[in-house]
Amino acid sequence: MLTVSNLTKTFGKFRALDGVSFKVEKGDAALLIGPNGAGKTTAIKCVLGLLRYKGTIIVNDKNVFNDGGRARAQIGYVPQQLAFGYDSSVEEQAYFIAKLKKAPKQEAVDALKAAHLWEIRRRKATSLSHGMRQKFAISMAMLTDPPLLIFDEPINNIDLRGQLEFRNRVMELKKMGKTLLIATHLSGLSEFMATAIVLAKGRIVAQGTPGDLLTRMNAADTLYLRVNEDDGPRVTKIVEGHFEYNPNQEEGTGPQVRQNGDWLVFSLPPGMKANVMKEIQGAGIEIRDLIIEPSTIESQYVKLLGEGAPA
Amino acid sequence: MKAGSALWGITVQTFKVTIRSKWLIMFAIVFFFFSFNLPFLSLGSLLSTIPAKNVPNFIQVVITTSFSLMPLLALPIGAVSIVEERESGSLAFILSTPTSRGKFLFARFCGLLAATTFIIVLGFTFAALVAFRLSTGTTQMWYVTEAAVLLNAAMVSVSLVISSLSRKRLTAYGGAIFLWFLFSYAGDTTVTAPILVAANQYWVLLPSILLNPIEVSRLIALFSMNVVTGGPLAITSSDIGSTGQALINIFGMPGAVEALWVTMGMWMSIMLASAYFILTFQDIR
Repeated sequence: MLTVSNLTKTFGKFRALDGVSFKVEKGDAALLIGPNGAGKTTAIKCVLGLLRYKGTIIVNDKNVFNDGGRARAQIGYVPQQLAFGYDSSVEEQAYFIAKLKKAPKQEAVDALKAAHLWEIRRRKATSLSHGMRQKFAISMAMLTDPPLLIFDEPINNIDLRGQLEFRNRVMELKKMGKTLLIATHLSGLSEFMATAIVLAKGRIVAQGTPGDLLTRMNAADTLYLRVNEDDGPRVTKIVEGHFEYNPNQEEGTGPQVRQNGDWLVFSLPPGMKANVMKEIQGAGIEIRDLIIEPSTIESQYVKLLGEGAPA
Repeated sequence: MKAGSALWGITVQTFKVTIRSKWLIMFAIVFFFFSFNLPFLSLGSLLSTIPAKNVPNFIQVVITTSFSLMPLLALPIGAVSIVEERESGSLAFILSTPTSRGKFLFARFCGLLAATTFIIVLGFTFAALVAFRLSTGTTQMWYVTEAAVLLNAAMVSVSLVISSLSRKRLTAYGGAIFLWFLFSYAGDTTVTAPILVAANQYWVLLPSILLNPIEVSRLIALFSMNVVTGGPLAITSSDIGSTGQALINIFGMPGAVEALWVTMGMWMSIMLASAYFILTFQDIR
């Protein structure tokens, strides 16, 4: 659906993107993650044909460079903050965007209704809250039913409720078979994503499925375990017994078992959880409750950035 | 139910925004006051309407006072029209849709031209009605309007070049005011033209005439009246002035009129093409 090959973009002497290549298959969801200034928005603007670039970008077999209009017709774009060129109502803006996208007026009406914005259609578009604007932007991006949706920092400045709503929307869009590219520097979305592309200083520093990347990093999941009070020291001994002592170990990582109220909290890398749990049960310790907090791309973000990490 | 084309959508949106802009409203008021009311009041304060023999003089005054002001209508409005969208981020959003930059620019041109032309036509029609009450002179005012619309179209094209080039609104305003000053005052040939004509240096004068759209449109207005109406209301060669005489000497008649029309067409097309190339080959951040 989207193939970016050797994408390079310079602003004067500054190299914003340096040989970036990635692929998003049809129906997949990809996370473009990186710190501020990593080149995420630049990459998106190149895909949209807004910036001149070196390299090749193909959207659904259409080359952005020489067939920009048709390539953009395949894309629904949700910008970081939807700007309105002039002060008008939500309804007028929707009709205007429908015209730009060659969509029938009725489709704009339906989109507003589906996004529960029809009731406020006469309100000034500029008076919409950030969350409402995002809702509006997504509904407009869906006009003409484009197969690829691109989001630029969709959860910036959005409250927790808005972020949860956005996660639900992403899941809905995935179910609809849409291909998604989401650029963010903080997400909480990686568990829904087929691919994570980690960008730093204009280069890809890691790329793959979130699971693969985490395994490659030996990223540890956090376990919360509730056992009888007397069994706490035995659990600690079992867990710590799985690790060799390393004096250079960073504080708060590795085998340390912390007590948090009734809970014992510790981190275990992939492949070790089952063995540890088996051993605990084998020791006759009754597990009263268990929570596993999986590691995410976001939680391992700085490690992923490696040398590209900001100072 | 079709929502219509992107071209139409942007044109209508531009028209609406322009027609509601404070600058346009303020300009319209000032423009009417200076261009029509003052000459009319001075000439017609003693008479109910302008006598036929004074019509050419009156129109000369109208042309002189209004044409130098005319660029102030389109230049600032057009100069900020793209840069404003660039600053707000809506330009990037519009161009992220299948709408091409060329289509966007052309639609913006059409919208700006429609709104500013509406004001000009309205103004001149109103002035003609007040000054001539549909009697002699109304036809002549039509030729003035025609030339004014041409000048306005050229200025809209120029303004889009400024807007495509500018990154900030203030720069765009500065560029617009500078060009207005350049065309209206720095490019004024009132002093140099008679000297060059007297010395038969017509070709030396030619570039300064053709490179100044205000002068070109002024001459189009005067020539149109001279050629078409004839009779006692015709503009004489002295009314045309040194620049007009220079053109007649170089191109003859009707060659001079044709040269002026071609020049105006080139002003529009070259400027519009320049704006297109600037916008097409630039990054929209």
